[in-house]
Amino acid sequence: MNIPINPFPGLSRLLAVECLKLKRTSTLLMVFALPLLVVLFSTGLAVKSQNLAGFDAQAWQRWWMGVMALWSYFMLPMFIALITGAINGNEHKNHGWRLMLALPVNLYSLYIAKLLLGVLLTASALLWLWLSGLLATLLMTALGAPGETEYGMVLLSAMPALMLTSLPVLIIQHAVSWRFGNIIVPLSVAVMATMGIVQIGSSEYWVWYPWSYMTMSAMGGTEELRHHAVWLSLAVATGLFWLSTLLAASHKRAG
Amino acid sequence: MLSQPSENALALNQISKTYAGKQVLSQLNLAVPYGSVYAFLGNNGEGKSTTIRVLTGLEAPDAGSVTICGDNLYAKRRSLLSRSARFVPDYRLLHRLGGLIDAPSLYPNLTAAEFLSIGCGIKGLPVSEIDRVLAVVSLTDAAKRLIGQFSLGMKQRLAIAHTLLGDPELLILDEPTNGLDPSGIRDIRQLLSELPTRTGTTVFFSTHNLDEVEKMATRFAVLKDGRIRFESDIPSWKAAQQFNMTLEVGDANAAHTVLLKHGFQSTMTNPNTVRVEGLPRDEQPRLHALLVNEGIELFQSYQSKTSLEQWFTNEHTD
Repeated sequence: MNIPINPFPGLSRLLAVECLKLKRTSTLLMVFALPLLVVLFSTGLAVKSQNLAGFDAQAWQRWWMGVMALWSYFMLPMFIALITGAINGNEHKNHGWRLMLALPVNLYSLYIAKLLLGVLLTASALLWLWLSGLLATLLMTALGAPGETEYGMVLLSAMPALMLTSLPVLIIQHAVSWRFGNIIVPLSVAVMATMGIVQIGSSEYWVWYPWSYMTMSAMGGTEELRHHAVWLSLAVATGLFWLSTLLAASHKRAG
Repeated sequence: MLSQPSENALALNQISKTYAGKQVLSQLNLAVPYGSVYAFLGNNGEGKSTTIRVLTGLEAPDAGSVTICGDNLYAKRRSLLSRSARFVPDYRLLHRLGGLIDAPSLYPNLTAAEFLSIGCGIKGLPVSEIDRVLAVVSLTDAAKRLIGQFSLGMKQRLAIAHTLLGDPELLILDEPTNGLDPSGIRDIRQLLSELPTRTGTTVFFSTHNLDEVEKMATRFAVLKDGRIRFESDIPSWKAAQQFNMTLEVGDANAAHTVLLKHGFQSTMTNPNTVRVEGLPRDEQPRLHALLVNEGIELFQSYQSKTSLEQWFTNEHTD
């Protein structure tokens, strides 16, 4: 038997394996297509309602709010549901669990590696959202809108907070996708939760609703509120991470 | 972690497992010697798949121990979410075995080489392992083809190649020829029966196909009601089997009289044919010599043996 020097996979090796499994799938396409769609849609609406030559600071702000609202209220929760569904669905539909768990893989490591891949894909999508937004501002400026690149920086500064506040939702959706083979289940969770953002997110109960943290961090009325959303997300994500990782082991493999 | 080599590549000791109040495995004992191709037989619902899941760490037993190449697969531990201790597999031991549970559909978006690089990545093996195992299963030419374009037989060979990564000491396969066409069955049968001599790997497989057991296994066990009801190596089983013989003779009446006189269970079926039942293999030369010495013309004799399938149907089917 060939026993290698380091026979047991660390997170980096598992992460590389999980990345490989997504090769030639539509998951990577989603990372680019969905943020681009949001920017194109918001830009189209902004340009339709306001002539480019008369694009003032208020119009730029409307455009920026449009991008952030569409992304954080709707597209980001759906994006997270889709990618976590794809990452875990790979195993559900191809009997991959049996294949993976018959290998010398620590179940916790596998769970965490898949979650990390979800985080990486979300971070990539956010980065691409910013790049697309920046390209849109440059394009609109080139097409005659008064010079305004400040919102490129505004968008960029919102990205870290969006990433951190998406963590609780990422963990919840990952845990659901890990547990249920049918993609309908995580998608239903996402659709129902997204519908709740408008109602609960604008009420005093938003702190109890992880799906509202993203919108609150991006569009919360005050800086204090936005910071609150970030810190709350980190605390909730930490608790959810430990709990869901422990529960993950009660499923799939013995023990 | 790795202990001294033991006599058996795999040993189950007093394994019990209950599902929803139903005892699926009951104090199951089994020993698979190194270098054997061991078939695990049983009707549906007798506990074959549960046994395979227990052996590959997917299902913890309620009691008993599983030893892989001398090391215990399960240890009792208390988890944070449970008050009582329960069996937990030492996943690191899975390095020493290759497991294939059911027919996997694999990842259709990957090529064969990319798929194998999953196992290589997890086991920390060099990429040269991919070429080696592809050659073992005769899929070298298909290395860069997408798995989605593979036939069922090719997928099965690729799945077996995946289990061979790292040259494990033991392969555990759940119905490896299930769903394959005759040529696919022949390929897998040849591949698995040659593995112990080619790579030194011990093969343990469950199957419904009794013909397959006879042709490829060196040893087999029959599982019924969660227990091993019969175990034997194939040559011993064959030697112990009794045959029925049909003899074409010049005078069946005379032959019948002679055979009865010497204690054979003879029946005259027509004036030129005698049938002898329940004849052990080593009695056949004596029977022929007896007839010839008694001056009875013997034109032809042919035997029909009990196949494993007939034997299994007679002995182990309700």
